[in-house]
Amino acid sequence: MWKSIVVLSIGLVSGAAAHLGYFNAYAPACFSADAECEMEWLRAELDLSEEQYVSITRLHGNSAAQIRSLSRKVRDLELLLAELEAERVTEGYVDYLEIRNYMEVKRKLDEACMKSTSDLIASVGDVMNMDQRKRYFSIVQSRIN
Amino acid sequence: MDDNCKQLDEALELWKDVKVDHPRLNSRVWARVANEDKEPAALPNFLNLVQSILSRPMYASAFVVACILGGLLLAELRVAQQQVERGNQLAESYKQVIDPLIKDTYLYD
Repeated sequence: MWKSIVVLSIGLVSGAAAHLGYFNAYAPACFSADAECEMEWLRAELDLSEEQYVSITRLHGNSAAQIRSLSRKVRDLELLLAELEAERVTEGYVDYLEIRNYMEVKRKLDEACMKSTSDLIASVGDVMNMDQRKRYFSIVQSRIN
Repeated sequence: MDDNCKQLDEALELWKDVKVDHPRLNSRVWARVANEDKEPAALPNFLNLVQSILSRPMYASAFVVACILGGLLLAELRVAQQQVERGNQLAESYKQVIDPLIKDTYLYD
């Protein structure tokens, strides 16, 4: 009886140890959504060479300030729209001139955002070979105009 | 056994209001009682079987190896699932990095 219990225990402990060992060795290293993690993921996903990786990281770094600034403008515009809507609801007043200006600014901002994204995607794609580019475009497909 | 039969006969004798017209009722009832008696013994029989199998070194080794392979297989499935989830998550966050129009855009803050 004891011999069977010992064999069962050894089996279960060995199985658990093998499971944890393998999982810890091969589980994805980073889950957080930070830039370094994303670049590492992109490198692995597209089989980028060291040279390509450096170029692509530099391209993202160069456009970071512009994208951040555009992103801030988009949020400001959303806040402006929320304020206009609050004014309409609480005071029953619609400032059509302000709305027209909002629409105009939003249209220009959307164009600038799309151009910025497309330019970045195109310049990153230029660093890649055909196969990598195809895979990269499939990842960012919804962002390509 | 005869004593039990007698008890059953007495019990059936008391059950007069219901007409039981079956030629082998007595034997059937005892067959079912015998079956129920057998069921609790099934578990010890199974344990005996396990014990007899694991007492052989070859089968014991095979059991340990199967446990290890099962653990590895389960780990591989978990790793694959996590990689798919991570890929999707990072693809989404990458799109946020490159597109300011996405609500949660952030950049190297």
